[in-house]
Amino acid sequence: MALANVLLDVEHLVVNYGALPALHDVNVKVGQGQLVALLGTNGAGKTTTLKTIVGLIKPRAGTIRYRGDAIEGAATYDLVRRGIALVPEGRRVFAHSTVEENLELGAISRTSTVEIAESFERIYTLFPRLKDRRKQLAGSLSGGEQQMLAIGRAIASRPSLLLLDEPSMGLAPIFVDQIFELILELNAQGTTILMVEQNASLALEIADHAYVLDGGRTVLEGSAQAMMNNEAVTAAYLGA
Amino acid sequence: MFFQLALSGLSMGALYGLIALGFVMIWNTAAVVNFAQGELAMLAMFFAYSVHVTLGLNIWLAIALAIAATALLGYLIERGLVRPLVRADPLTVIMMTIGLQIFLSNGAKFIWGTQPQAFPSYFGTQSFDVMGVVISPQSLAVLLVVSVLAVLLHWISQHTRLGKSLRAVAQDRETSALMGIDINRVVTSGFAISAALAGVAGVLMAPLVFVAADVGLPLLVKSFIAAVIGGFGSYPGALIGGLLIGVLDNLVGFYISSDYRDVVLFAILIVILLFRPQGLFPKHR
Repeated sequence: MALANVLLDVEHLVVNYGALPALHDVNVKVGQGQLVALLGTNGAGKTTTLKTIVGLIKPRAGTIRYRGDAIEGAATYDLVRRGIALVPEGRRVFAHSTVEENLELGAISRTSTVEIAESFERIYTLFPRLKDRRKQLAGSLSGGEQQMLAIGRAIASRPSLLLLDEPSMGLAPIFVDQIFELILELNAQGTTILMVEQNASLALEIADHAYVLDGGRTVLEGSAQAMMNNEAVTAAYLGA
Repeated sequence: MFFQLALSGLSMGALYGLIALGFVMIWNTAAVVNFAQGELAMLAMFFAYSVHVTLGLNIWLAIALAIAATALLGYLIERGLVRPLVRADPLTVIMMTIGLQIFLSNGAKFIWGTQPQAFPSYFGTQSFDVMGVVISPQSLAVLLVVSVLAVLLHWISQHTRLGKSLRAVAQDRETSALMGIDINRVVTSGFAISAALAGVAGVLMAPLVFVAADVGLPLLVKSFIAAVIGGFGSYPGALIGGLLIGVLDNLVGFYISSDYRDVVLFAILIVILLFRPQGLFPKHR
């Protein structure tokens, strides 16, 4: 793929969990402003790839470039401050804190109170439900609301690159549609997104580009359109 | 007599509670049980003793230096001993803090000797008489300082970046890193703060007890029980647990026998663990 403006460039990524190999050769490129889907079966290495990009796991080999700088081995907090945010699998909201406190934690590395207030305004506009419930404990929210909070919390750091891990997992269909519309809207507003998604056909509907992982390797890539029309892909990975 | 005993018990209990707070803070942020927590209070007493009594410097300077030195020690313990073990088996970390407890206690004997030393009261000696209950200025100061510290800590945890980070790390370490929080720094701060709390407890306690190298272990045991009774993880619980233990300790010592203080204390601990293993107070972060 020839991209004029590559924001994230993962090449030949190798990751081990202890002695167990998890990733063998993962290659992913995300261009500025793109919405890219990372597909594959359970255990293909999708979550591991995202966690490695954001520094939660140290790679054994390979390179990760963000804005052209090598970032493999950088600390997570540093990468977050440089504009990468991950919405983790299972949402992981701070259940004993209120909705507002969760969002404050998302913005904790920022200093300008004016800008933080603007971000909160934007988040509450995107997710009016969160505004209604801002004094409630996050643990008392429904799954869909928690997913909104997890995404809101991530964009409170004002990321340039947003990584989403299974945003539709465990949600009622009505919430899945809402969340996907929001993802599309965030992307339209200029946030570059790399998304891991079990529901591949849904992901391809909104993505520009997609990669397929299998057994810790990138085995396929192409435009979302081409992927949808590729019978081998739909048969193997889209369950259609 | 009952109120007299209860009141003097409260001020010792407040100090157990203060040490227990530090215990809980380290447990919440680093998932480490620091068995050397009582020794930090003991060392603070000796630091203050050396600066004030041996060197003859101003008491308030001695107190400030002792607390600062204890906080620094907490910082060094985290950097030098705890962080290298971050991926080690929890049992290894427990063994390390037990070893540190023994090392510090015996190290203090080596430096300051085995002879208990009297520490002068620094809030004066004129006791107050409130409706037949006599309270020494030192005990009164303890209650005041611990109350102010409790309010201050609560404020810090709710309104400062460090406080919010400490609470976030206590809930979910990995997700806190995803918020842009430097976990190592927060954990180090947690160790320094909890050591400073033990230091404050030590310098406040010094005139109430004899300063000796073997005071650390009983302090550890009492504040540990306070933390467990309070729900191990709850800050108000640790403080209230400390107060309960201080009062009980005094009452049992007077009405039953001072030989049975620990028996009763541990009996209560066992009963609480059997019937209310989550502690008396719900977790509050």
